[in-house]
Amino acid sequence: MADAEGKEPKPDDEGGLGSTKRDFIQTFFKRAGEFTDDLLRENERLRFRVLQLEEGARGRAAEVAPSSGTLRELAARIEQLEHEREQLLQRVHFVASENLDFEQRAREIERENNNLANLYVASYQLHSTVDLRELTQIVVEILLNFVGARTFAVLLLDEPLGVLRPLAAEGIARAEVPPARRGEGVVGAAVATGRPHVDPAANRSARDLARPMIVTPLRIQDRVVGAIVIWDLLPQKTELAEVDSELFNLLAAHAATALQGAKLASELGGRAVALWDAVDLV
Amino acid sequence: MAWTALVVEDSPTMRQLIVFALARIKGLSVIEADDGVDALKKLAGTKVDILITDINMPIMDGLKLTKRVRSDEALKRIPIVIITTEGADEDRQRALALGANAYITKPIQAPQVLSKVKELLKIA
Repeated sequence: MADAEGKEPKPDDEGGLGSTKRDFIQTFFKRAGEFTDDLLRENERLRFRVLQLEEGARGRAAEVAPSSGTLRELAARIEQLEHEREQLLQRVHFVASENLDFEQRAREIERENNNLANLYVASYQLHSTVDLRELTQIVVEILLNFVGARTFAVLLLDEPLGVLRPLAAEGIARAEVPPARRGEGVVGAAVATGRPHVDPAANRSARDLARPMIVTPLRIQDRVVGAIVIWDLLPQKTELAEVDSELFNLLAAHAATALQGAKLASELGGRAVALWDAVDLV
Repeated sequence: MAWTALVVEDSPTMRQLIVFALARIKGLSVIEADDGVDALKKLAGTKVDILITDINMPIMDGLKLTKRVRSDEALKRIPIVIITTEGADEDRQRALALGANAYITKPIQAPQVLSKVKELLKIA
């Protein structure tokens, strides 16, 4: 190979270059060896450090973890709380069911109060007068406004003849009220037996005067003095309620005695009779 | 709180039933009238908070009374509840068109009356 001046290098020069290369290689390998030693030492140091850290972590975990006794206590506490929760839930359900019962009872009491109010007013009105015309009007109003009857008649029994005569009628002219005799037909049978007749299936869409829906005999004790006959109800009155039968019972007794009283009063011809005169009759 | 209700009904039986029902509202006093004319006289002399009237009455019926009340500047804001035997829709519409606030058909039930009156007087 030629140098910069174009001369071939001398053998001494070759020998010098070789020595430099050798030195370089020896230094290189020496340094590589030293570096490898350093790496091994560092590796060993780090592994030792890892072991230390692992040991430390295990120690701390052991410090934090509860003992088996504590675990048992906690489990028991959880079980107790679950039991208490279950009891509270049962109590809540029981109270809720009690509330429903109370609500239902309150509604029933309210309904009873309303029924009693109706019966009280009806009874009070039936005994508020001895004027036959006023009394008849009151009976009609009770049937119309309390019961919700649309077509009905109040009949009085002409006892010697056994014929029922209409005292008042609503929804039908008095002259159109079908004639009735004691013991004949539905009305006559109710009057003869003294037992009410109820036929809720009576055709409500087409009034059938031969088939009354309700017949309530008017009674003074065991004596029947007349009857209330209902053929149909107001369209908004879809069915008979519990209070209606109570009203019929009340009318059966109170309307009869009130009508009888009014009849006697009218027979007195307006003559005032002092109540204390009755003392002699007792 | 105190309120006054005017019950207009020609039938003493029905009037007593309504008055009996209204007696359950604490603080509510009730005055009564036989017909529309009697009601207008009572409205002139008393501050009334609610008017409950029947439709079918002699002298002046409930619909005429409603019309008169609604055309009177001093009375037109009084809530009106109509009570009647008429159950048909057109009667209901007629009463409401004249200015009635509520409509109850006979046979009346006390809870129905109480509920309407409480609602219109905003009683809890």
